[in-house]
Amino acid sequence: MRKQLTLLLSVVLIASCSKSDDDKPANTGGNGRPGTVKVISNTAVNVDADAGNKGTFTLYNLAENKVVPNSDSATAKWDIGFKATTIIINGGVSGPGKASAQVVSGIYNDMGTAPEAGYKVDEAAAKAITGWYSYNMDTHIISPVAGKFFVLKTADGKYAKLEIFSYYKDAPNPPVATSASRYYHFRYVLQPDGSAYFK
Amino acid sequence: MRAGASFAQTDTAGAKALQEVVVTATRNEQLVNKVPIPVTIIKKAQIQSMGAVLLQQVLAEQTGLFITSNHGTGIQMQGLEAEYTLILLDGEPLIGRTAGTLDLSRIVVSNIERIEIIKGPVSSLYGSDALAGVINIITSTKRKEGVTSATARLATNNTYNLDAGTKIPFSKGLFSVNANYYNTNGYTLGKENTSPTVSPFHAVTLQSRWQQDWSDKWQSVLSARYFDQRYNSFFQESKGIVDDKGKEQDANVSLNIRNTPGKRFSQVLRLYYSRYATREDMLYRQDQRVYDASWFTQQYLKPEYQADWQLHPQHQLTAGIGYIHESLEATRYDEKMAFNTGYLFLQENWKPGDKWNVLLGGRFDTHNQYPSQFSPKLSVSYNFHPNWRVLASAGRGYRAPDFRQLYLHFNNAAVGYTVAGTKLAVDILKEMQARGEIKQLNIDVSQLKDLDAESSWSYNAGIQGKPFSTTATKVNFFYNKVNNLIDTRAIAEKTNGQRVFSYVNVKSITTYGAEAEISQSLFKCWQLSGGYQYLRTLDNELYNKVKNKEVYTVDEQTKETRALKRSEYFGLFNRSHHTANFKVSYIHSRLGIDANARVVYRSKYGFTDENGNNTPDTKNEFVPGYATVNVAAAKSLFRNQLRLQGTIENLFNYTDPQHISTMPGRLYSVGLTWNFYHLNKHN
Repeated sequence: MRKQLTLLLSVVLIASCSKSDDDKPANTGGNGRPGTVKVISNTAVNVDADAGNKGTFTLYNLAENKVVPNSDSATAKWDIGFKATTIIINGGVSGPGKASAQVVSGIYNDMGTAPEAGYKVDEAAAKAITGWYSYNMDTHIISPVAGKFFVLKTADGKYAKLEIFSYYKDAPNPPVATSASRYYHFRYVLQPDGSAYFK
Repeated sequence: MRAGASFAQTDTAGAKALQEVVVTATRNEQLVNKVPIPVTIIKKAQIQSMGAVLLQQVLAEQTGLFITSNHGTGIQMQGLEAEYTLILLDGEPLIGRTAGTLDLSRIVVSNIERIEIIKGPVSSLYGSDALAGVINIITSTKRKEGVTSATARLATNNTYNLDAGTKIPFSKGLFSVNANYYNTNGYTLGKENTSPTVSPFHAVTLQSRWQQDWSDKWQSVLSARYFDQRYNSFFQESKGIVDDKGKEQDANVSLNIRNTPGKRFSQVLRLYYSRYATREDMLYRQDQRVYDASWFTQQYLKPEYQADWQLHPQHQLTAGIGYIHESLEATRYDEKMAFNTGYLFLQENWKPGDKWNVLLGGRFDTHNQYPSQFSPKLSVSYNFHPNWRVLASAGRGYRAPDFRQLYLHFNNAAVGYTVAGTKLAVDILKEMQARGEIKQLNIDVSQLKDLDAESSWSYNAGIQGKPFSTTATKVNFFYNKVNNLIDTRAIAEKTNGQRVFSYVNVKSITTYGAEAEISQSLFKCWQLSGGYQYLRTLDNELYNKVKNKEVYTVDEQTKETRALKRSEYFGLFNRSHHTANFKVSYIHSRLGIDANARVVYRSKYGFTDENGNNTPDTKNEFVPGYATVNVAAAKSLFRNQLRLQGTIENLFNYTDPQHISTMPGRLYSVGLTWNFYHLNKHN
């Protein structure tokens, strides 16, 4: 019954999904088999990550696929935040949520199940997400490291995988030194049912 | 400087090549077509016909060599970078490397008699740095011909070169002196008012040599060289324009005393001293405030004794013993550093019959800063036909950790990073932690071990011969595996967002390939020659990851991340798979005409890594392949007393400012040389 409800919610009312009162521990693997619940799969483009250099993070809600105002920073309404190359998650020192994350190496499309362990929350000394980009001293281009992506638990404990594919406005290929930077382009898969399955 | 070392030959024709003598491969005179190691010889006439002024211009056109640019102009040999090639001047090492590169633009070619190039390690005779090979620049000559000459050359970018020298033979010796002044205004690629790509600089080189035959048995050679270069640059900084003025000085003196008591035994004592110093002052243009000032002084002292003993008609033994004292003082080093090396080398040259030549040697170096090194080498050649022979060799080469890797303490004022040599890294980190400058350590401090030398095993095999009387050809296959490569590693994050770097022995690389050369004389006056090198290089650890599908790329078509295929692994940065050169020359001695055109090609090569997988794989991580064409023509007049030459480098004006800052575009030059042949010719 509950399974069907979640399914219904995720299909019909994607927006409300993150507000679900489903509070069970996220790593139980939920209700088991893959494919029973439709995953949320989105691509976000030109997410302004402090392009104006005001020193603020741009906060993002994955379930709703939208930017959350900074006035909501003390709530669990956002999952991940961007400011230049720095990425925070809504957990640990960065926010009141339950988010944790890890950077993994591999092929984004091939990951069917989120790893069970290895998640970290943001700490003052080290953010959970680091080392995702490569800065080239010759060309001054910032590029996502090929094969690196993030697996995270959102502010309300749902599994998601997220891959950044450009840091430049309109994702030019290749970017040049004069391309406008601090514009994130990423894609993600969010499993709203609390399970670790992405397929 | 090795007494009686060379046999200068001004003819380029093949006929006399049979008698040609080389010294670099064995440290004694050997016929080039007998020595079991392939030696490339570049003769004075060849250098002159190119109209070359600086050494890099000559080396750039040799098969299998590329010019690289990293803290100076260096040479890449058998796919190994500039720090792995030893540069000798008359058999003695030139010092003053910056980040491993010995800047070849410090060497003017005007009084070079010939250059000998050996590919493959020769650490068995020369010790450190002779890992990829050795380039020996030879200025001495046996020719007792008195000549005084003066050259003036004017080229694009207000580059001019004035050169004068004289050789005075006398009954028991030879005295020579040479002076050279080189000036260039450099050039700026890209927008005006930005820092010069190549700064204006001028340089003076003075060289002198006195050879005296005291008796049949005793001979001495005293030689000295002095080089002084000044450059002038500027850059824009947040607080204004900063003028950057620098000077570089290099001096060396060598004394060889040779004793030949009999036909079968000779011994030589060599004393060599060299000093290299730089000074750089950066001042704000507006108020002359100091932005940064630095200096660097390196000294090198080497006494060495060598004996050559013909034990038996088939056996020649060479043995040597020496000691090197090196010291360094610099702003980037906390105190004066000293390195001491003692060494012994031994070589047996066995000629079992006319067809075989076997060279077995080794050198042992003991050092006060890193583990002792033993470098053996075995080379064999076999003449299976009067005009053909096969050669093979196996040897070990090494390169010592240099001063900076052990003792550098450098805080980059402009960017804010720190570099710490391994001997100091632990203390420097502690001090920085105490000052609160360290945000996080990336490694366990106990991992910062003492550095070992980088070392290689290398194998070369080839064939040389003359399929026709006017055709000469050679092919060589090579394989080098270099272990314990010293690499920089970020050991800590600083609170200012920058990092602290130090050095570790980490990876190993492999380079392998083949080179082929052919030259063909046509109708007396024409000469065609060509060379090709095929090169593959591997970062072994990275390649293993590629094989395990642990290195990723984003597919250019699907835009999806996927594992990098083995076939897509291109190899190390700055290595072209294919390089080639081709030369046509026309020499008509009676008319005094000498003209040539040369093409140099290199295929695409990895320039940088943008997508963080440490290997060039996407299109914009490569420099496209290119070819350049250089031409030169000269006419001699009044029985070779006057020579006029014009050259065009980079005829088709190829440039790629984004990737190749050392390529200024088309360059013209005209030169005039006056030779006065002295009447008192001896011998």
